[in-house]
Amino acid sequence: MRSSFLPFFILTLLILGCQSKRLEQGGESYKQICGKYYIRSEAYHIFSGVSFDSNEKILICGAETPGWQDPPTNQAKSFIRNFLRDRGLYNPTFEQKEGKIFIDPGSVSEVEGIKFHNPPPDFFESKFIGIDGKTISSESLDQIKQWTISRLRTLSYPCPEVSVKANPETDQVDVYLSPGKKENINNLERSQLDQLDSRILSRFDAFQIGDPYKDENFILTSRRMIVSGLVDYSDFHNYCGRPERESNHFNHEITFARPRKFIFAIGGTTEEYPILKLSWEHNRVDNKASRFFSELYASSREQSISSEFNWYPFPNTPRLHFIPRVEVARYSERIYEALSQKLGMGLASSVDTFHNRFRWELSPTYNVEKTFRGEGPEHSSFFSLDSYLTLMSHAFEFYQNAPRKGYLVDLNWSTRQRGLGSSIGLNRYLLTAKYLMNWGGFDPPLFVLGFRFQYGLLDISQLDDAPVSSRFFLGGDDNLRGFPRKSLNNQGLGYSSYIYLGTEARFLKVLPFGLQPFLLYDIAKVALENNTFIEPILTSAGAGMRWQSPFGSFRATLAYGMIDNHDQYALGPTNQWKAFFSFGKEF
Amino acid sequence: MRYVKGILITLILLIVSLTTIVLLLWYNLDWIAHPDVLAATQKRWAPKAKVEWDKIDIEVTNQGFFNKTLNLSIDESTCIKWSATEICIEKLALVVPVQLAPQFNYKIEKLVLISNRSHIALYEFASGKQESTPLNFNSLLLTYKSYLKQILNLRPEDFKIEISNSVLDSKESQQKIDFSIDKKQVSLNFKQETMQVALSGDLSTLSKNELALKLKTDVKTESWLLNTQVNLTAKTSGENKIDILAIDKSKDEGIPSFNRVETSLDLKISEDGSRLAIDTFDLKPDYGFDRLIGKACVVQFYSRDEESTTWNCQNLRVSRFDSQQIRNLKKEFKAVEDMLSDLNVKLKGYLNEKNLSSKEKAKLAEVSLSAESVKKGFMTLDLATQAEFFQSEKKLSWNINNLDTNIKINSFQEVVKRLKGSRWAIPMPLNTLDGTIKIDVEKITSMTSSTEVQGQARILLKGKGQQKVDLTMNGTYTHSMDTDKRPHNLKAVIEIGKVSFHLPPFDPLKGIPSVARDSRISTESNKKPKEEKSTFDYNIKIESKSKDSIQVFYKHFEPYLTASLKGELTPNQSQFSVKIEDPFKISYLRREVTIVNFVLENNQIAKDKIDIDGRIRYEASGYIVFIDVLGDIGSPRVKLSSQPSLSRDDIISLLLYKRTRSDLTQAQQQNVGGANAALTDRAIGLIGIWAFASTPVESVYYDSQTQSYQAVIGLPGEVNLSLGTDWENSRFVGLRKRLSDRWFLVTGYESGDEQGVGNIFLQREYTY
Repeated sequence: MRSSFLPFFILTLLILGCQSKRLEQGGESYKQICGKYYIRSEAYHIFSGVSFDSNEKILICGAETPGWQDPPTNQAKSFIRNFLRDRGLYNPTFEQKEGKIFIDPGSVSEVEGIKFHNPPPDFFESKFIGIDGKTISSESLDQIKQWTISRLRTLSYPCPEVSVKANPETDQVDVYLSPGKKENINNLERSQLDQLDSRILSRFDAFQIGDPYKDENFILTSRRMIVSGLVDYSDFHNYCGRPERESNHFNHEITFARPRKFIFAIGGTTEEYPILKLSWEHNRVDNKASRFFSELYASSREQSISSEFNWYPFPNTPRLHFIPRVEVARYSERIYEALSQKLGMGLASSVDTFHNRFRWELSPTYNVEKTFRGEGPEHSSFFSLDSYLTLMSHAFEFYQNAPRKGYLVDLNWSTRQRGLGSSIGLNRYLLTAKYLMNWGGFDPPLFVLGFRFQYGLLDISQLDDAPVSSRFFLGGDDNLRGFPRKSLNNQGLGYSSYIYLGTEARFLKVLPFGLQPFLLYDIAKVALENNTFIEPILTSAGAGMRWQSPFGSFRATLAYGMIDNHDQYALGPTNQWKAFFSFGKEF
Repeated sequence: MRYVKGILITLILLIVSLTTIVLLLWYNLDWIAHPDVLAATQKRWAPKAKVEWDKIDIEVTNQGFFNKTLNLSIDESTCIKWSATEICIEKLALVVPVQLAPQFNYKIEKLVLISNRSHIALYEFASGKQESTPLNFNSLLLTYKSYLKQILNLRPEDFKIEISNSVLDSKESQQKIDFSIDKKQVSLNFKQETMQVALSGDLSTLSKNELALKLKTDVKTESWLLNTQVNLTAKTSGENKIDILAIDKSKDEGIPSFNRVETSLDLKISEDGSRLAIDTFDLKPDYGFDRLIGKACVVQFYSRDEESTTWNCQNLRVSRFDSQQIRNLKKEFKAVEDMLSDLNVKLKGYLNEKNLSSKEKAKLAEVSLSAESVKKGFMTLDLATQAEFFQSEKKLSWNINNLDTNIKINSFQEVVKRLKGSRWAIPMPLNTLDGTIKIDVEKITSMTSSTEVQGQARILLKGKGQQKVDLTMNGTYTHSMDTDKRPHNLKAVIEIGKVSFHLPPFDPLKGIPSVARDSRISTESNKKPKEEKSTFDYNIKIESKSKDSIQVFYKHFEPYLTASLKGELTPNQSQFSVKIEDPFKISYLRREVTIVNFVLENNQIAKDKIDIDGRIRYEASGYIVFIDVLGDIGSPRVKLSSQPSLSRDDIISLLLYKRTRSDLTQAQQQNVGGANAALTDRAIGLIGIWAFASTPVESVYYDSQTQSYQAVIGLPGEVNLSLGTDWENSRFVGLRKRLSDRWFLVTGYESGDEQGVGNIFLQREYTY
């Protein structure tokens, strides 16, 4: 239905465009606005030139309403001048000939420079370029004002006053700042909740009471709450300019979501499709907003059912919680096929400082694994202790949708000990880190440089005894992008250790339509035994393209994978080109 | 008988002797004009006079019995004294042929008079009075003209008069005169203590009976008003045409001046010089206007007293009013030009010449002016005024003693038509109105330092539909004589009887067009201009007669908006209050809200802010919602209440979706949260509140960091109008795009151990 409508729609637009009356005057093409008014526009371009909406045309050419039938020419010209100003056109000329008025809108005045007056310290650590080359218009000035207010709020000024002036003759914009007073978050008012203990809201806080005010941390807090499903809406605001409250008094407004949610979803991932998901969750099991979540997942590679309960029993330590979970999953990978059953009881908590979030989780788990195909024991059951430590900067979390700066450090340690419900002893370590920097501090960024580091170690006497899910495989979009996913696998045996460093240089403003090209380089080494890295250096070099769509980012990469002395080490794949396409995924 | 005979003979002898003597004397008049005879005669009859008769040669020659020629000559310098009067003559040659019969006639054949010194005590010639009248410049000029005319009429063949160093003494003042005239040229220098007038001209014979006199008059006076040079070209007979070019000579001296006036007058001067008939005049000043042509004015001069001249100009008609500015204005000014060209003007007054040179403030002139439109066109003027002019230290001040003026525009549409196409064209919606505008000046009060004018203006206009303007303005204008001490002042009260108009048929969703400039964008320097002391002060009060004096009609208003206005404007601040007291409905996009009442007024503390206090009523699902809007209009506080009572979230839910929160989807609840936060944060202005209440809102997104909100409004036909979202900057929506109430497109990334995957799902959600 929609596909048949589109050509009709385009045809209609073409017809309407052609119906727009045009005249030739002095070698220029003029398009009729209405009545006797014509404005210069390029010939044969249906959408070229300046167009006016119906309300504006009423004021230019009149309407049937009493009093508005016959606008005098000078009044209509004055209106046209103002309407053109709205579009950044400040020097229109009017020529009257044969009862018609021909308007040359002149050239567009674009912002050439912005001068900030009375900036506070550190203001210029972020350099605003979001308006460069845009027309001088009320909308542009609003954008400059909004950015300036936002910037000052990031610098702990909750109540800044900003005024903007522009001169279209010099194409300069002057921004006058009155930052006001820097404030700390000393007084945060949270509304009393009917069915919940209000203390539980602090578990989402990206700040501590007493920290300097920073609006980004408030937004991050609200986002965490919305993503958790607990609230539909969350927002912090203060009482700037209101005599009844001080400027360091902040108020947190939320709108609770309904507690129960059932989701039916179909879709796919970069690895598998189609996928069917059914989930049910209850995010207010008790008055401390403990959350129960259960999901049924079905695809050609994985079929699973899992349940998890985030139980917050202690109101005075609202971040400390237990995570009983159960999961049954069947995996059908290219190099193995297995059944995994887990029953665990995690204990987790987190701490937020002004700049970072630190989270830990300790999860003793009883595992039952069956391997139907591939390396590793056919059947094993064991207790394991899985622990996670995560350090994430607030900047990294804040810009997750459009990465530009911050860092993330993740350490995962999984251990099982012989005699403690396990036939073997095993320690698995995985340290991953990412660091992103906005080169030059431009806003929006011009150039983002990213590094990522991975170090994995499987501490076990015999690699053959290790379950396949514990071993390390390289290749793919997450590390060596010149090789297929998990193609560096030691003939399917996997590696006991590896070290990886990847880098990416992304250019955000060199191409139109939001296309962001980037260069990439990855380097890694692998070990067949504990920390004994073998000779060849594995590298990938290439380029890619990122596009920020309304639904998330799309990325495509093309890289050449290289192995030093490839003939000497039969690692599997040979030197090759590899392309990846992904969505929702970042560096 | 013998005695009789003897007497007769004696008488005859006596007659013969006398006849012989008379004949001898007739043929020898020199005997009578002999110096000794004249000296004896003068001694007998004028003993005070001193004349050196021996230096005066008088000869009478006979050309016939009745024709004599008088030759009077002085070749040696001599002075004639009479008391304080003394006339010294260097040379005199006068030849006058005289015919005694059959009729008396004479002509001057030769007149040569050279005098290098004289002192004439005028008071000695006054008859019956010991003191003569003071010398009057005007009367002197008239006397001069009279004598000049007589001299010119005599037309001597040999003609030359040179009088230098002559002093006219009137006891109170002395005037020095130098005069010379011959057949080709004439000059007169007249010098008083404070004034010097020089006249010079060429004389030539144009025809037998006509003599042209071209005079150049140079007037120098200490009075700044007459410090001019005037060139006159005149004919002494025929159509007495005089061209006058007056050039202000004081300009270079830094004295206030009138620049240049060029006038051409057709004059008819009466014999005594006291009546001047101006058939036409053509003024060409360099300022204000280029040319003013008029006709039919008779100016009657007569002496009011010894020091002033009174004049009266009746029925002055301005037939053409021309100026470069008018030519630039073209038709814009045509209406005023027509009105001025259609006036019958009467001017009269007097000039006090004595005070021209006064160094202290003194009354200089008094002028009465009356004017009325001859034709009753679309614009008429009736004016009567009397003004006094004072001069002091080269400054002219004036004082209007009486002013009675009525200006009436009989057809406002005529004004619209005349101004159409010009830069002063009447804007819409006013240009569709017709009616009258009347301005009456009721009273004028003159005070020492100012003049106060009281008047009234009435505007009564109507147009198609419901358009109407009925305004009355009463005011007082005070014109200050010294703006350094006190500025001009206007106090006025405008009473709004009725102002009723239609709004254009705007589509609210497309926004209100930018009819005003964004004050933030300007080519002017941002520097604050220097403050200058204002020379104009005002206080204008505006009041509505009733609560529905202002009526606004709009397609979405039912029936229409009524309001009253009260305000006060001064240079320092403006205060106003707009009250809407009668409820009216706004119907738009399947919604209907009622504006119960509204008050808009200046904030008493922050003068640049406007306070609002109003109530909007909305009914849905059996509930009545009241939206009370309070505080600053830019960021108003919103109080929500309902009957029966509901929570704030539920009220917002009713406003947005016509149902309470329990009936909303998750996405709709998010929108309620967004709207609530935006209202709490006062980010939504008056228009936004109205939009929320009066339009079906699909979604609301609020960003507290920039305090900006975006809304999606549902239009009829299942069409959504989205205000757009900058996804790159969107911080909340992230990777979740709502496709409908329950369907979402969700993208994400799940990080695994060493392998993460991006995913995309089409997701339907049920919440409960």
